Amino acid sequence: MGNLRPMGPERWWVLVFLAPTLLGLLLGTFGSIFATLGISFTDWDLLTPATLAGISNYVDLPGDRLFRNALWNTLAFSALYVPATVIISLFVAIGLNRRIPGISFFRVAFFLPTVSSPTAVGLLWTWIYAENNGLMNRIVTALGGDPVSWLSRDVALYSVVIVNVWGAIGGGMIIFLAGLQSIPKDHCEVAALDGATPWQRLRFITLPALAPAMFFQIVLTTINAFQAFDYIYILTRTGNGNSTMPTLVFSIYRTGFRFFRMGDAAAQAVVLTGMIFVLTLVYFRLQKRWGAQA
Amino acid sequence: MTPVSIRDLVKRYGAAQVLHGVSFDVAAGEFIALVGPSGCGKSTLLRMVAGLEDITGGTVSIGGRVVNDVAPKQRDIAMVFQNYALYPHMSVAQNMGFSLRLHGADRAEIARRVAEAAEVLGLTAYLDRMPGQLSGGQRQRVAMGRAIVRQPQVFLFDEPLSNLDAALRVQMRAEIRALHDRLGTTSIFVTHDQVEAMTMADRIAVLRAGRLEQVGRPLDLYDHPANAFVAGFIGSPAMNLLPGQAAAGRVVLADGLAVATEARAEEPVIWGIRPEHLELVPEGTEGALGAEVVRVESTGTADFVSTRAGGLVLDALFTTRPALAKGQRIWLHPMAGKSHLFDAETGGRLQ
Repeated sequence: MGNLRPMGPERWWVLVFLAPTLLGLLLGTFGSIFATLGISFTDWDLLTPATLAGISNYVDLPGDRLFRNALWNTLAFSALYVPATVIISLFVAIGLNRRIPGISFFRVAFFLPTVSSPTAVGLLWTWIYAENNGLMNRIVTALGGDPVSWLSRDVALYSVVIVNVWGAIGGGMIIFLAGLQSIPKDHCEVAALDGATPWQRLRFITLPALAPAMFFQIVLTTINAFQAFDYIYILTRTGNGNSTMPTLVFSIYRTGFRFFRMGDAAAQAVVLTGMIFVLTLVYFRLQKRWGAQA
Repeated sequence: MTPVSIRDLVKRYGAAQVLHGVSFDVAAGEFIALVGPSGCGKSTLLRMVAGLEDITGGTVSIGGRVVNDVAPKQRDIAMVFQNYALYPHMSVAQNMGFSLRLHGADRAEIARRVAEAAEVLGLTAYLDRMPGQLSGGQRQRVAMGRAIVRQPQVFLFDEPLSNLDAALRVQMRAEIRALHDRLGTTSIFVTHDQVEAMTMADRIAVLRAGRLEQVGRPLDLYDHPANAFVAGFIGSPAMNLLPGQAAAGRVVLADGLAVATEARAEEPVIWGIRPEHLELVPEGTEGALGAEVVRVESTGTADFVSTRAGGLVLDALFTTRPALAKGQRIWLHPMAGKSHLFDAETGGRLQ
């Protein structure tokens, strides 16, 4: 092997070549984070100079009806989306973890939504969900039912969860497939010799072996759920630029760039980040305890 | 105790045929070793007995019942894998008791039988450990323990010692044999190591390229190999096998060297002699072969001497520690009655 670490003057060149990436990271990522934190303590409408507001933006948040509504929508969405995505992608992965002809076709088919443009696919779904002549309602009326307003306030949550889960199955499936394929074949063979039924093999061998993949997937899906925006916005936007199901990210965008209350928007963003952070910590704790038991 | 019977067993993967009609019987309570070079089909055969591979042709019977279409779990067998296949998320005790738990045994019964097996294998102190915290030898014992708590009709071993270091391998093979003597369960042990087969088995079945070459007791295979392949495979260091021409009472080898043998018709043959059956004799002894020392390897117990006799390589093994040097000229004499003759074409034994 030899020593691959850069020596002497080479070190400076390393810095030079890394500079564009490092600068982007520094300004783009860390810069935004600190700017958001800073702005959240000010009142700023983008036109007049910002004035210090202390913690008033945070204190006012609980009283903000629109924010509360967006928070509730996001929590309801996550409560449905996270378990549905994890469970469905797990079973799709188990179903596709075998050597049968045409298996690659199905794996590609399930993964396709992950690499498709959310805007284009979102538009496709607006047609599927359209009240007049939409695919869903054609099926419903063909079966003798009355057309459903899929994206109205009452139903939008479920319609939106379906599209988001559909779009996320592929990514989850890949993680679970990798986990499944790292289970040694002889573990399943020993279990078969020991008399385990397929259900017992899943319960005692496969699922425990998938615990790390499952944990990773739950954390990732939760973060995605709290940040969900694209499909939801495209499906539920109204003519006046509003939404029938505003989420936290939509609320941040609306508060900042439609109401021009950057301080309030930044405070909401910080709260969202904090919530994701706390949830991830809880998962880590749970995994540690679960891991110690197993 | 249960006998196992293999009849005309054939295995094909598409166009590739792995087993070409193998037949042998394992008596109730017998320990049989299945030995052969890599790719000879021995593991495939074992997996067919276990039910992990489909049977293309022929039959496998366990306890007189043909099990070709019986699910693995209903064959009442336990298998020990090369990689042990311990469940990493279960403790030693949970690993060992898993099959009983699957069968709905109550906790007290599981604990009792696991404790019993742990006692036999010296694992009592490790029952609460996870597999990741054990050494290779301990994991091997847990895999054994998992097999014995079930009290199955037949044990199957798929090269269980190949992942252990040399010293541990010697120790474990004695332990496995002792365990067999104690439990008396019919066992089939697959290995590529003929020393393991020789030291552990009641009988050995030698496989080559999907065909059974010979089945017999270890010393029978050593003393009377059925063909040149078994002669070369069983015994370490390997037998010298040299092409020659049989003539009246002797075999003429290449370069005009000749060795005495029983009278035979004139025909091309393979003459075989084990290294330990060559004696060091003074120059001019009748029937001795002159050879030049090429290499000497001393283990203390014995000296392995590689020589060149004319154009032929001839290996010898001496326990008398003769002081030999590279390049030295020595005289080797085949011990009376210890040489083997095989057909040059088929490799079959001629005596």
